[in-house]
Amino acid sequence: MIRALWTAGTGMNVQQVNLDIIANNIANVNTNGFKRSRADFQDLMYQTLRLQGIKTGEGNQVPTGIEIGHGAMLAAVQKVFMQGDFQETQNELDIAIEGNGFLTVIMPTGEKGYTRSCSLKRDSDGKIVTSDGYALEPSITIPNNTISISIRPNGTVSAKIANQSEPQQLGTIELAMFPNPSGLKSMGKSLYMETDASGSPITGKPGEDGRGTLLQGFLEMSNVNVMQEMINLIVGQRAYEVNSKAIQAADEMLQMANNVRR
Amino acid sequence: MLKGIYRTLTGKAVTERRMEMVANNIANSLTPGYKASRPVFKMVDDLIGSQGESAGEQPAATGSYTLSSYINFADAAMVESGNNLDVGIEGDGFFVVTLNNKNMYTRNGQFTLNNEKKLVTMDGNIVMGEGGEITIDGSDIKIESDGTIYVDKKYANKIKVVTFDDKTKLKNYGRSLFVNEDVQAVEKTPEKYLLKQGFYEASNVDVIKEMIEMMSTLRAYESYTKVDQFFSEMMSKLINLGRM
Repeated sequence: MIRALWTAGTGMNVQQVNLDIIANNIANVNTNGFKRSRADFQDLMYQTLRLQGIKTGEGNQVPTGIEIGHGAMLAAVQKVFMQGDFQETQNELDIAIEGNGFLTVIMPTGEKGYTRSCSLKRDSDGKIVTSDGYALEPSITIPNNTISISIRPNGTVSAKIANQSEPQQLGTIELAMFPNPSGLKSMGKSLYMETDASGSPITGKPGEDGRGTLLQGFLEMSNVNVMQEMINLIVGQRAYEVNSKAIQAADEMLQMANNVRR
Repeated sequence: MLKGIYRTLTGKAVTERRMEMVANNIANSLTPGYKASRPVFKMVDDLIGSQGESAGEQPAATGSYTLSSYINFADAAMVESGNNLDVGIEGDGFFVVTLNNKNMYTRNGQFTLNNEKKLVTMDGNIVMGEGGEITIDGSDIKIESDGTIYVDKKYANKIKVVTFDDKTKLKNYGRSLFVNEDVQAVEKTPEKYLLKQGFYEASNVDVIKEMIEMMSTLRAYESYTKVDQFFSEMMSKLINLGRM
């Protein structure tokens, strides 16, 4: 049977995944700390019907061969860790990371998770936690009678406590960096986990060794660019359409072949 | 028997291959760095078939088609991605990646880093620089138009870009890679090229061209079918002649 049917089918498959990814990006256009994903395509292997460069019976060399490709496939879905825009919230526990790095949190399973969605809260014990209640690592506890909290760009957290003239230093928020952030596993809930591909995290103070700095009272918005996603959506949809046309054409050819003998 | 019906058969086989090529181009219309394959037809005079016929007779003007293909290495549009590890080549040249200790060539400049901080393709194949494998350890990455990489304002390596005198010897390997199977062809530095950081090269498939190609292929196939039907009718008439 004609290969074109399956070849165009792989093209449709790939575009379907592409649309899935675009849809997820668009759904997260207002998710703080969200990083957009990008689908990366490759062509599939080729079937060589005649190799270029071989000698023909008359002693000539075949200048070009016949290669027939088998369509396209998805090579990778890459997270694009570009900086998102900042939004001022004036909330004293909202922080935005300006530059590279992730906050480290302890997940309920005891494993470490990494996030850039830093809309932090206080739990009943005064511990600083994420919106899902995961504690920061290293953990910082805010005393009960605190009036205001200040977070310096270098990560130092200090609190102004009632009846004390000097602010009290509570600890330091550390940032984790990865050799290959695109290799992190997305866990949902704006969390990422370490994998073999991402390499081990290197934690340290913000502002040191290429780590970003912290900005109190701001949140990092999603880095999804709606215009870009819309263009990708149009292109993806049209590519899907043209692939379906190729399937139709191949189908018509088969139909004609079947109709030779009436 | 009528010979024509076998000739339409070769024509149909060739047309099917042509359709498959079009389908592959269309399937890869969004694959970065993909280069479209184009079919080539040659008509071969059917000399062998005419030898048995009486001397002085012209060889039958029917021919069997042979199909070959070539890769169209024309530049494609640059897409701005803002990703600082995306590199597009403007002009002649290929990136060099290693796969099973063999050099492969690609125009897909969507790179990333592996866990050893080496520059790799999305498949994890190592991208070669002038000074061997490229290690990027730092956050401020600047790639100049000649491929020189500065990490944190210090020279790190230079991305190797090569080309060949005769690119028809390059073969598609799949996975956006090209392989050179001609031992005589040697890598050389292209005369004119520009690397653009934050961009990647799109596919050079022209969808309009592919649609036209698809339509003409389909119609050619239809014509062959019509001729087949005509031959079939003729033969049917011949067979039924005796019954009249």
